[in-house]
Amino acid sequence: MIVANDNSCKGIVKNALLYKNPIFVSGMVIAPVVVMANNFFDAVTLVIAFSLITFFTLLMSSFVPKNIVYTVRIILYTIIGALVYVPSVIFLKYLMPEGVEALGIFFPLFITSSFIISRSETIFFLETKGKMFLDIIFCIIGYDAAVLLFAAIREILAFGTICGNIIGMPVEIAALQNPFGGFILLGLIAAVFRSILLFIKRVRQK
Amino acid sequence: MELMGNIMMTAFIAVFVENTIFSRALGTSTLVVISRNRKNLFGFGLSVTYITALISVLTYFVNKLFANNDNSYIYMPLVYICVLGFVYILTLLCLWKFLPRLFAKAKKYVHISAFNCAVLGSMFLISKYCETLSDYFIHGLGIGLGFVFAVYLTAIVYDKIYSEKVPYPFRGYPIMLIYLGILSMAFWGLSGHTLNY
Amino acid sequence: MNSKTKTDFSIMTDMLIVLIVIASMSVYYYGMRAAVVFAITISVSVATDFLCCKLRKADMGKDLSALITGITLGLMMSASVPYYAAVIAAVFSIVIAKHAFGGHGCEIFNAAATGFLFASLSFTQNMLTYPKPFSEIPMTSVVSPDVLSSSFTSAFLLTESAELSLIDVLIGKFNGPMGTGFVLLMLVAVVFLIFRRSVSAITFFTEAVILGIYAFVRYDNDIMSVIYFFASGMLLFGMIFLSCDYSIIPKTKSSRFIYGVVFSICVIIFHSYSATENAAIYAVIISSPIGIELDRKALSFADMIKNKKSVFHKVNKPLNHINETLEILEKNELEK
Repeated sequence: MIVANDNSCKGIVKNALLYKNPIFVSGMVIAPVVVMANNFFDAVTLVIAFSLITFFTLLMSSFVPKNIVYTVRIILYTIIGALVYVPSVIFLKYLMPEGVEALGIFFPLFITSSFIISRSETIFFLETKGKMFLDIIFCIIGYDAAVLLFAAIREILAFGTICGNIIGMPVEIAALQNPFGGFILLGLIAAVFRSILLFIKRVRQK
Repeated sequence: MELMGNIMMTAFIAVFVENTIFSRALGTSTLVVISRNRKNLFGFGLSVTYITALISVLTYFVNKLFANNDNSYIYMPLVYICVLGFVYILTLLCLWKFLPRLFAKAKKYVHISAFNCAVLGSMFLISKYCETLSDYFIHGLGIGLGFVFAVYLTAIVYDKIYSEKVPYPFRGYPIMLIYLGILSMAFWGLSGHTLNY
Repeated sequence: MNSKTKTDFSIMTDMLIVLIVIASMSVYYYGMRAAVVFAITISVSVATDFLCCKLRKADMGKDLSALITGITLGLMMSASVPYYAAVIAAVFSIVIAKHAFGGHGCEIFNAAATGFLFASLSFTQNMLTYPKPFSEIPMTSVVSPDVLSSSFTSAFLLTESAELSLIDVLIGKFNGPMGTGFVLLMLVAVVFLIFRRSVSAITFFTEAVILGIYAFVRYDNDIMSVIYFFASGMLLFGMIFLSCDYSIIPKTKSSRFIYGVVFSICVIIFHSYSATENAAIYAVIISSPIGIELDRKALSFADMIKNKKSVFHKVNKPLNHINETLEILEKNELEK
């Protein structure tokens, strides 16, 4: 695995965006992406909902004392997540009722996403609050950017449109609209992403 | 006989047709993590099935108590999480008290088998589609078994997807996604229609 | 090492001979358009395979599998399939189902079946409507739906009966994929392949017996319906060329038997539960990972028994000289 091995600010940002990208490398919270991120607009809703819940949950989780046993800590994290969900869903329902409707059960599922479960633990190992904040922010940005990129590619291939505008693709591969198509396309893009990282690394070494 | 047939059919649908992983992709991240280790697979499967089955019964009562107004969608996740936390702690306490040896082993994966999207998702799904207590239970059990089935199908090709022969860009995670995609493509033929989420 | 490659290669040549015979038969039935479809699937498969090998810096060696995938894919298609669908199916087969998993010998799924399934789920309307045999098919990429109709399989699934004479069924003169309906030819092919040891007799006969019994029970002992059942939905074709594909079939006798049972159960589930046309394709994809596990179990079981009694090892002796089985066996030997 290629990872930037330093705990400096630059290393944290690099890891969050590239080397440990939540979607393309680590495979976190991929269920809603595979199923819902069919087109750019749905992806935007997804990204906003995810960012809201994850950011505030992780921020509040960082105040959970470290000396509580892990068994109890993990319940606290998810309860915080469920509490953050309440204002988020009210806010988003007001802002974009259709988007929330389309997300369905995937919205509340962000509470137990692997992102919150694992990230809330790993940020403990970072020394300062500032770095923790940086890590949370850039991980979320990395996730969001990856989802939007994936959804845009998927929309072009599956529907032949960009944000709903027809662009005249010769062939529309309808299978990519379905969850199985999402799996396959995500796997392909993850492979391409990894080879790009590898290429960059090789060029640098030379 | 008819009842037995109905039960079999419901379980069949929950395990194969509406498999959490292959049709709804719920808990894929957990699958990616857990299928890296073949050793814990059996214990993990057992604990997921146990939790979904138990949770489904509790969900029935919780739904009867709380989910009776239009705004229930706002606070239901909190209620479900509390139920999940309760079951989780209860399980660990029981194990610790009565089966200390198993407790030492199970400690490693009980948290991931309780707090994942497949389990929480199953609570939302069964409250959407089921009405009677037996429906809840069979569906819950089926979802757990279906998840285990998917994990099993992934774990059996572990050697192949992490093999040196797989080109580096694909090795591990990307090829696992493609593998899951191809399998869900085949299971898609069984349902042949779009599922609700 | 040479003898191993030769056997692998000779299996592929046997397959190739049979497939070419069936393909020429379908060109005779459907004319020039069939030939063009074959040309596309074969050339795209081979070209993509070449490109992938170059990209991976892998040695192509004596590998005919891309050619076989191309022809198999062509045989499963409708003669009126849009050209782009054929191209996408071929690219998907080679890139995703073959090379992403590590190339020839490392596949988990049958490449042709996977590519076909992907294309058929993408272009359902165009892929699953068929022209009549010996009819004029326009050479345009997308054929107008006026000359096309649904397959014999879907009619048979709906009504559970068909008005087709025995001769027509045996010579494959009905609406359906280009090369999957020639029952007589398939039977000759399977006899040839079994005698040449290129197809597993155990798997084939297990599947034939189980599915035969199922069809007999389901269609009230009606022989004609049983023949329709085997001719429809690529079943016989799938049994011979997809499920017995040398690169995905388990390597030990006992696991080949169980693999045949698993495949048949999958076909039965798909046939009786879902309304899908090509149950064999779905079944072959679902049962192939299970085949890998069966092999592993059989080998470790044989190893376990061998330490106590050497006779049992014969039951699980490897049949195909596929490199991987030998590697496992060599490793076992070394460990001892």
